[in-house]
Amino acid sequence: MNFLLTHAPILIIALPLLGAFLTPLISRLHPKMRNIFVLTILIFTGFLTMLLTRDVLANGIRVYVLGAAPSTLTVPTGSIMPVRIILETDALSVLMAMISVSLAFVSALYSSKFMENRTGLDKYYTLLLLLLAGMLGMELTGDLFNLFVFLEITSISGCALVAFYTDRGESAEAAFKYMLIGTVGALFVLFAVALLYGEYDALNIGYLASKIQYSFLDKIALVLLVGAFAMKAGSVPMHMWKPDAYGEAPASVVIMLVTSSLASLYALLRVCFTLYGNVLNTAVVGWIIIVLGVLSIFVGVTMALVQNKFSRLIGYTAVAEIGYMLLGVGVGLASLTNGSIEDYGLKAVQGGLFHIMNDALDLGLLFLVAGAVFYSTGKSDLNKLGGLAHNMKYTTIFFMIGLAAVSGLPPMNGFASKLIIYETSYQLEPLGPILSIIAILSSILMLAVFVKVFHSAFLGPKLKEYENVKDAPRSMLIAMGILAVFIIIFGLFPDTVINTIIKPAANALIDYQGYIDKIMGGV
Amino acid sequence: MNKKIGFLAFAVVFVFLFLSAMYMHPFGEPNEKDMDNHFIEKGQNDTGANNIVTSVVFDYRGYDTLGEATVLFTAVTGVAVAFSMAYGKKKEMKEMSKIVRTVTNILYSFIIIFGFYIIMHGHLTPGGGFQGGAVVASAFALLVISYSALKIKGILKKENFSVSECSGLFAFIALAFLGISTAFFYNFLAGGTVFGNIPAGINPGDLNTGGVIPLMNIAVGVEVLSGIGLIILYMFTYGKEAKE
Amino acid sequence: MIQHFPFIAVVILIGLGIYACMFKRNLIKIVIGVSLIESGVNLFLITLGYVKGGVAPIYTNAPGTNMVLPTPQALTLTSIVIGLATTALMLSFAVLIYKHYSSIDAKTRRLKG
Repeated sequence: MNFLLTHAPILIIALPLLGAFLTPLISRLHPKMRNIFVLTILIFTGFLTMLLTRDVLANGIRVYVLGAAPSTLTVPTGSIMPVRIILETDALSVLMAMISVSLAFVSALYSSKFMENRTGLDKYYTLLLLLLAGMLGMELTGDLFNLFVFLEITSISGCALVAFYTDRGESAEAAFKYMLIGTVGALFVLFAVALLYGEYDALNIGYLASKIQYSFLDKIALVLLVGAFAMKAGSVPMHMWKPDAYGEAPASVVIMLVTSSLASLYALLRVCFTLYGNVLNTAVVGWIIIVLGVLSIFVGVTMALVQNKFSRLIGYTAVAEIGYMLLGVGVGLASLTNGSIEDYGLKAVQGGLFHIMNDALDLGLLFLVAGAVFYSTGKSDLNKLGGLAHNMKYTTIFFMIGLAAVSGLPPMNGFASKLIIYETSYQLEPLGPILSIIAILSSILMLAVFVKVFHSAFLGPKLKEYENVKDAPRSMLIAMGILAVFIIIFGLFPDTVINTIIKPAANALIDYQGYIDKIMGGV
Repeated sequence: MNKKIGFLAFAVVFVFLFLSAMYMHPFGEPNEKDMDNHFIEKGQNDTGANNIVTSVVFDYRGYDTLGEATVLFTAVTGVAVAFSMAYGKKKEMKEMSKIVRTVTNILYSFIIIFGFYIIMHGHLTPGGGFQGGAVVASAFALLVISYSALKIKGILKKENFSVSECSGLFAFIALAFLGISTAFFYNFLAGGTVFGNIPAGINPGDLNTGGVIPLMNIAVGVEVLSGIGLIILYMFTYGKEAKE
Repeated sequence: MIQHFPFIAVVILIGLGIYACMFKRNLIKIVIGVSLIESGVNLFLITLGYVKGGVAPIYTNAPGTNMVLPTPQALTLTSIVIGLATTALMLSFAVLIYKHYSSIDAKTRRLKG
């Protein structure tokens, strides 16, 4: 067990990679063996992640140096700086890793029935495992160029999965758009990494954080990094790929795409709070993030009102949800002065991080419900659906839970995190109350949107063409049920969840000095 | 209106980047050199390879190389997904003239041997797995172009390439796993018996050095040549095929 | 100014690439634009490592020990392979779009709103 714990950071990433490389060979045996193999790899990865989480929450940051003689030797003898790639896991990284692995497991369970009748499934499962490995690599690393490489892995496997329905032209178009924006964003990240390397001759995040000054080139690198990661997370003004990609991809893939945009949001937080923690002009950058967040909320909700296609509508609400997370974190950043944060600022960061976790669960459940409707009826246009509540009872209940969670109604988890965001953004100095009011109004609009969807798809008289529609198969229902159970538990006991996982994550995010000290050995 | 906003945004970004170019350090005089001085001075002793760039790629930052090989694997899988539909009629691709075919017959084996030479000597001279793999793949492209793609289908098969790509990548990650008693990607053969000599200073180059690096070069070389060969085959031979 | 000349060349390449990405309508030209941006960033990485009077960082029959920095060359190697992968995938999506819509103009689309 100690062996597993010491090497846990790299094993969490290397196991899905190993699984992805072996899947084409194993799928030549039998399809069922391939499904069991994928689920086994995911269960092992989940087990290792829980082990690492328990250790990090008890003992603080854990580092792993790749290729060094004892694996914790960050600065080799005879040198003053770290030269190898270092994986540095603090409480925020393990929170994101837990979200990614759980959602990947739910997605794999769902796709064992949802994608059953398609060909080329070995490539589907390979790409799914590679997408998970890319996200975990982004979340656990402490090295800037490594972040870029795994960002590219996530981006490319996501695009290939969006184009999976090759018999429809819209999928190819959405995939091309997604790939274009993803590649240009990643190249800007590489340009910024090269700028930072040219100035300081270092690629390690902790070492750069201790050496960085706020010169003109550093400001340019900050703008490029924030812009590129906001582009990949899907906030306005670069949000156009989100409704296209989420509307055209298979439903079990969209839940992983949601998680990958959350991983890009994590990278944005890491850059703003840790890499530039020492020198950042927090008021300006904080307000820019707040403005981006509020615009995303507004644009996302208003565009969602006019959509006809089920998953495209949920894609626009995804844009709005990213806005809530940016609002929470931006309020926290704007109230951070000289390394000490105001009380409401810390609560705002906690609200933003809690909302990351809740949003993954809520949007995941909504997309899986949309997928179940498509699987049973073969249609996804809201104008043509109707009266499904008579036949698909469980799916309707899950949709009601997801609706309540996304709009922020008690007793679901969305209510807890949104309440924290409303309260804390109200207290920000100039213009705080206006932000709060916009956020509350948008939540009410979102409730209206989803009630309209519920009415048109599920309520109403039984339509003739849907008389023989059956409810979704059992494994899909189990997958949706897991998400619904977590939503209700997090809604009923928010305090326990916040004290166990969210408070250490928020503290780890603000505490960049602890991050640096673990690398430089406490000098 | 839309175009004007686009032009404005483009001009802003261009001026931004131009200012950053003016503020850079002068060309040829880098600001600091601590990490790279460590690589240049201690590289031979730590890893046993003469080529410091290869030791950075496969030993000090070997994890990035694993990510890069994964990116190539992902792209090949994506291309396979995109071309998995049965497309229209088989396009008749004409083969080239007799002169081209004769020159190809003579040359392609030399190109493959040259590629493998670059792969094997990656730790001594400029080169390595990626470069050599690309050279071998260009030999496959030469074969596909000069004989029409349909005649080549019997010789270069997609299934063989797919199996060799997966095995090359699996060998690479297995070599990384083998050192896990100390750390992932530990160079456990440097200073040992197989490929274990440690060179010092300027020397004419000994093939028996480099630790685990020549083995990783071979694994990556096999993966790159199969991956690029697969991309070439998918793009040249899409037409109505038997269902796989 | 003359000592910054390689960096200005990098900025011009990236500027041309962004222009082709944003303002051209043919899908293949958009892919060429992305390829130009990649080449610009790769050139930027390599010019960061030059040391005046330095030789290649290889000890086999080296003419001296004043070597250029090896790390940017390793980063550029990774970046070139990633660029190859993204170009291949984007081109195959362009082929797929041509198969469905029979045109590679970026303005013919079905996804609206």
